Amino acid sequence: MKKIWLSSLALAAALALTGCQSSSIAEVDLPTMGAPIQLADQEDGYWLIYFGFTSCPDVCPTTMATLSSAMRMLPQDMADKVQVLLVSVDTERDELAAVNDYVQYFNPAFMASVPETETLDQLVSHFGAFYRKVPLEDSAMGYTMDHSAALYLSNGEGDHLATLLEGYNPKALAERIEREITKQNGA
Amino acid sequence: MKKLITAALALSVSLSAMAEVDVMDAYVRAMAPSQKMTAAFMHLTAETDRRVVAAYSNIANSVELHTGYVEDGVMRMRQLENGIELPAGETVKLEPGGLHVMFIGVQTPVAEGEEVTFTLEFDNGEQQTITAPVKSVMQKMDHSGH
Repeated sequence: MKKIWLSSLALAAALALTGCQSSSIAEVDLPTMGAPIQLADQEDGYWLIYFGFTSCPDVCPTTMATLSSAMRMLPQDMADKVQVLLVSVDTERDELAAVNDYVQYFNPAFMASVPETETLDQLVSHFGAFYRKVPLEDSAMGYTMDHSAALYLSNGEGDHLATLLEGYNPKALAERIEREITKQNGA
Repeated sequence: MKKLITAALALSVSLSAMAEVDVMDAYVRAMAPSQKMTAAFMHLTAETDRRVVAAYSNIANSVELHTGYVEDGVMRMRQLENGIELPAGETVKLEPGGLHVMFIGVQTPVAEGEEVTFTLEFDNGEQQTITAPVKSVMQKMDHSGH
């Protein structure tokens, strides 16, 4: 009996260990135009993650422009610590090079990733986000993607620190980012 | 022949003078490289109840009427099968994050400083052609933020 207990303990420990390695969102490789990145790369900094797509003519560019504007309003030392990352939810239609050009048009410091669906789903569920493909039967677009409107603030451990939904107001967004990061520094 | 031209000219002048829908502040969003789509925004005021039923332009493979909105924290975009209602005397705003004329399959990206011509068709069969400047959404943001 003792033996069984011990071996199951060992099994549990092994499971916990592998579980830890494979499920740590911070160490998942995200493809970018350069080398793949991990959330863990931002050791002392933060990520602002947005789930979007480039065939979105209106809400996504408006969000990216709001975000670019908000980032310029942050104190420089704080802005330096925050990396904006657009994760495409349209893995069928979005090509990495195109998504990268797209985000850099709004701000050369922004990064883009088009992960495999499995990785995307892992990220989306970790941050409590949402996306869905919606057919547009009579539209030349064929389909659109519904996706979370929010920005997700994370640290290098991949902790979900805040969900930012400030609409299209750069000043309100900048203030919120500043508040959330100040809160982290104080903690 | 000359008479015919004069008549045609008079007709076109009277048609535009009769335009029942007032179009204000129209602009087309400048496109990010590699984007194949863009949108036009404007304020529309109709004298009598009208509906925009279609839009056309040479710059895109298709032009459609769409709306974008946030519901339960989720961004959605849908084609407006019934067009855009313009209740008499009410200014309907087509603006970022909401109603827009969507250009799908734009072959040459439009840039700031250029102009785009497009036509709106109404439920009474009338058409109105609009030439709108191309504007960067970022500059509008920067201005609104200060």
